[in-house]
Amino acid sequence: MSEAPPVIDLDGLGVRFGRHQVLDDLRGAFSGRAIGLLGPNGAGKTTLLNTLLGFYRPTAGTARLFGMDITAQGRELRRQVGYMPERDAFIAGISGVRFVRLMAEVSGLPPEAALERAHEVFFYVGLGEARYRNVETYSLGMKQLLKLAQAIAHGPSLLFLDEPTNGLDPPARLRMLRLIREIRDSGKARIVVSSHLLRDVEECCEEVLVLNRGRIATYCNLAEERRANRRFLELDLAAEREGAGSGFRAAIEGLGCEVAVVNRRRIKAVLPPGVEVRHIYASAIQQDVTIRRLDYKRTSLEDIFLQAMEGDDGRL
Amino acid sequence: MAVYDHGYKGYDGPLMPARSRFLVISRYGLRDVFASRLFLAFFAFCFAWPLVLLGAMYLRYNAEALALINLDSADLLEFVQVNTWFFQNLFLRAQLYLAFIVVLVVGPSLVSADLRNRAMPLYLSRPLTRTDYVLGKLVVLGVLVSAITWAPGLLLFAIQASLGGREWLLEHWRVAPSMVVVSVVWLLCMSLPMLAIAAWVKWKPWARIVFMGAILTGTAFGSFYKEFYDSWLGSLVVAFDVTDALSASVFGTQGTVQMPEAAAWLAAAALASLSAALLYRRVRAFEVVK
Repeated sequence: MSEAPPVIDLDGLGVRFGRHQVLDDLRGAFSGRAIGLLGPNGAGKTTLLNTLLGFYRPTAGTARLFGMDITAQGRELRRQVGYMPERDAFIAGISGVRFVRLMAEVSGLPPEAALERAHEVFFYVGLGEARYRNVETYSLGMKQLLKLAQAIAHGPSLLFLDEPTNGLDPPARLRMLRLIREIRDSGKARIVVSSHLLRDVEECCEEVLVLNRGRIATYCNLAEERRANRRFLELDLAAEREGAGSGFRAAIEGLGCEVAVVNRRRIKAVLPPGVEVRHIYASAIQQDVTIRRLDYKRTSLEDIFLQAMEGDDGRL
Repeated sequence: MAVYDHGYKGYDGPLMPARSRFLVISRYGLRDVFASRLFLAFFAFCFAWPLVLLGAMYLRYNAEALALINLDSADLLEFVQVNTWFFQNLFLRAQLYLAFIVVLVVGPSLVSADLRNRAMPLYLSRPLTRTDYVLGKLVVLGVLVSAITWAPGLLLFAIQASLGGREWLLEHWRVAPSMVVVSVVWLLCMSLPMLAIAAWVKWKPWARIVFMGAILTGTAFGSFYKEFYDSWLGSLVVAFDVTDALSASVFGTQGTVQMPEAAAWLAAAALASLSAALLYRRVRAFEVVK
């Protein structure tokens, strides 16, 4: 059985506006359910999205989405794509449901199906009660949800979200992130999220591409990173009797763990394959040691991002 | 994704043909245009003159009806000559003035709001090209203009042909295609500049003012040039002179404007091409600042 093509395949992609090289020799294949584009302002995130959508023509190389070339098969590709732009974008003077229906029809849905889907997505994003209101009367948060609604109305298999939480208050931000995760977990659509907010990307993405000045600064598979980080433990101990701590340390070393002692009450351990946290607890019970705190040591996305920025000329 | 089931679901139902996708934009555009009662009333008024002409044509061939209103058929036959001049000047010229108002009223609302509210990325991220978008908007104006120009013109022509008989039809057959050609050329020469101006100005009232300003300035400058230099070259920038010359060329009649046919066609083609290029330049997802 042939392997499915990557969601995004960048093949030396470059974009130049006049004398300004905006994207430079981007390479890589990404297949995660949710791919994050991170980078400081002006890094080229939005330009990359716009190029993948066919708004800008590559000046070098090319890119493929689901194995289809963005320039040669642009129209066919855009049938499968949903796009939520960063800035306000709507059609004035019409109700929300009519706007989304129009967008669904332009994507190819027959009028009846488009109307049905428009109502459904409005309830899905939580704007059901406001669907007959004129879009110009929507608040900023509602407009963000409206943009998401129009992006998913035609059931795309790839969703581009450009700064989806821009301008949202905390509850609205959480709702938006929940919706993105729901869509991701449904398995019906792959998602590409462009954001400069690390937490947003960390909360919904499995792969992260960090851009800086039009180049890939680093790539990080967050899902794997999380799995890997799960093997690092930091333990705070309270020994009931003299020597119990060292006995516990010896016991978990016996399980195959690498152990580093920070101080008398704190140790760090790397779990080998096959050893689970419950084995650590079992050893603690045997050695009469109380584990007061057990932390998975996680490398945060912020660490990865800052490392990438420092590696790239050391400037942020 | 039923209303009661708030989970995300894809769509795997049937899709409409890609080639006719631009008609969605036209359909929505037309529905928005006719949502205005004021415009609907004006549009209905645009059919008043063709109805008057239809009445005159009917009376011309109905002696009984003429007797009822105490008119002599010979007088009417003399007064209302249904010939090329009737269709070219009495019918089409009047209707083209009304169509000008239709383009002036409807044109800016078709594109300026989309550009002002940044709707272009939403359209163009779908399987729709810039050409499809422009075509979709142009069809709205095309339908409206056609409905008050060549469509009723052909109806009048068909009725007259049935009343006037085979001889009349053979003598005036050229009138029917000429009405269509003049209307279509006029549509392109008015609609494309109107849409282009609306795309650049992005505000409806200003777009109308700029369009009217361009027409009036061209007319004033052209008229002055013609008078001062006694040359037809001034007519090149007078929209109605160009229309008259084109109309005369297509209908095969003697025009009122002293202007070579080729120059009129060239002026119309240049205006339409320049406007299309300007419009096409503006209708894009994002402006690239180099």
